[in-house]
Amino acid sequence: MEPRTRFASTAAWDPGPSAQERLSRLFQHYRSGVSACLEPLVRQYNPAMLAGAQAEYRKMLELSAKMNIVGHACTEIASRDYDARRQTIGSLFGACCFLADSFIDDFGEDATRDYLDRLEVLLTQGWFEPRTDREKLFFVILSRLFAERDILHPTMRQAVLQLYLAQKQDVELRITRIPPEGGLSRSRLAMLKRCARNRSGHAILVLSAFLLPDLPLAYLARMFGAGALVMYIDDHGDCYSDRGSHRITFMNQVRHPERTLKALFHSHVKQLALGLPPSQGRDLLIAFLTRYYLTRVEKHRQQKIKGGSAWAVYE
Amino acid sequence: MNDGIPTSRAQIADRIGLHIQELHAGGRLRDAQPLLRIDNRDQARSAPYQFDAARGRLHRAGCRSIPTGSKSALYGVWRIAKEEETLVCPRCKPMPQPDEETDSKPQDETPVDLLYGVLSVISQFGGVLRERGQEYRNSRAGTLLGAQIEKIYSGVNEREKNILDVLASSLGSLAVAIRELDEGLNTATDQGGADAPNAGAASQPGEAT
Repeated sequence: MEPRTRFASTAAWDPGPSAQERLSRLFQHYRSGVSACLEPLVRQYNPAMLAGAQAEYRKMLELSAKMNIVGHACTEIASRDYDARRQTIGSLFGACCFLADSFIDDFGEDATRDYLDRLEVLLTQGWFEPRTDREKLFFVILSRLFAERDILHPTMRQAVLQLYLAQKQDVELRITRIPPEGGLSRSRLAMLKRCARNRSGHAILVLSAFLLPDLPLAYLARMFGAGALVMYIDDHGDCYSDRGSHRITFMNQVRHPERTLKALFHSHVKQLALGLPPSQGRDLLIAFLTRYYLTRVEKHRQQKIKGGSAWAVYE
Repeated sequence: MNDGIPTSRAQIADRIGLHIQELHAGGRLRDAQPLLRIDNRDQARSAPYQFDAARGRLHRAGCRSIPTGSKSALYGVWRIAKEEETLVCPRCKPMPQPDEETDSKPQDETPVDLLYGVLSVISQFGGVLRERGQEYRNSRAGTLLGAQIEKIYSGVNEREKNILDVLASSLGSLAVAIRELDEGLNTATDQGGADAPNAGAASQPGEAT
């Protein structure tokens, strides 16, 4: 999908067309690269995913490519090279997120609760006991990811736990039924917003901790903000599919979602532009967030008219 | 793209990881001891400083300026770097203490912990190791190996025997564990054969070591 130029900003923080061109090139590169990392694992542990049209597999690759873009930007912001090992981490992390989300979203409420209980056992005791091919694939990918760094590094451990707690809270909130009239209270809305912030804020810190073991605190805060923005954008794009599955989010409950998202986008990107030192990584991250914002706004509009699944738009 | 753990080693580690989970699922491990605990919430809560990742502010633990909305975005911090002093809360003003490096580690990290770690693994998998060891001792290869060991053992003095006893009790357990895992891997490979879904995966593009 091509971004509509009428949404594009000419603000001072806009990194310009060269950053967008670089973003397009890297997306192409990572789209072809992630399959080299993930396909052998999928073929070995969950071959059913490669059968037929491979829609789910392609979605996993797309998310992994996206994580590589974010990882590439995060790494360059810290003045490091996004080398082959980090690309592997980005790919594994994307696949891990995709499979974890599928356990939460795709198999019903009982399965969601069961997964969260087992994930807690995994994080507190190390036992997961995979039962299905999909779970075996998840476990192997998670194990490989954990093996890439010192998983017992204090920041890493906290980020992983915080991410789990945010996911758990999200599940608890999503099963809250929406009042027929009048909407949610302000405090409830604030809680939904925090939950969205935490889900992706902590997720990007997990990714960053895998890529860059010694994270300065200032960097950690900027990345947390970037992650939060990704989730607001994502939830806006999935507004109608989320409502269709009776899932409440901050972005599908707020009174003026597009206006709210625009304000969030500008404030977060401004903080990134002013708070991070000038670098290709910073420009790449802002270019990515800009494109993500524009395409999800468009996705929201299209789905309002046509309806559609959460994965109707890839880029 | 893959420049991390070499593929062959990674594949073995995958199998070992799954095998250990299967052992636990089958109730074949000795006790309910955790395998790996990532959850460090208790340690993080007791850290001397708390970093609010949502607002980019570093507080002393328990600072009343920490907003309620930031409680779920706090990270325990044990040491403040010089360049991070600009992030400190103006109210509680956390500052690094001179003896901080020795007193504020996230956990006590001593060599003894490593010893306890090794002992806990042997203890945890002891039942499986012993069972496999008995099977191995009764096998042809085990009998031959036993005869060789007896021959060596009869030629050493008492002090050396004592040392060998200690080593044998540890190394024997480890050797059996490795052998069992090796047998499991070989069995899985034989069963998969050329038709295995991942046959030749080690030479997949991008999976180069």
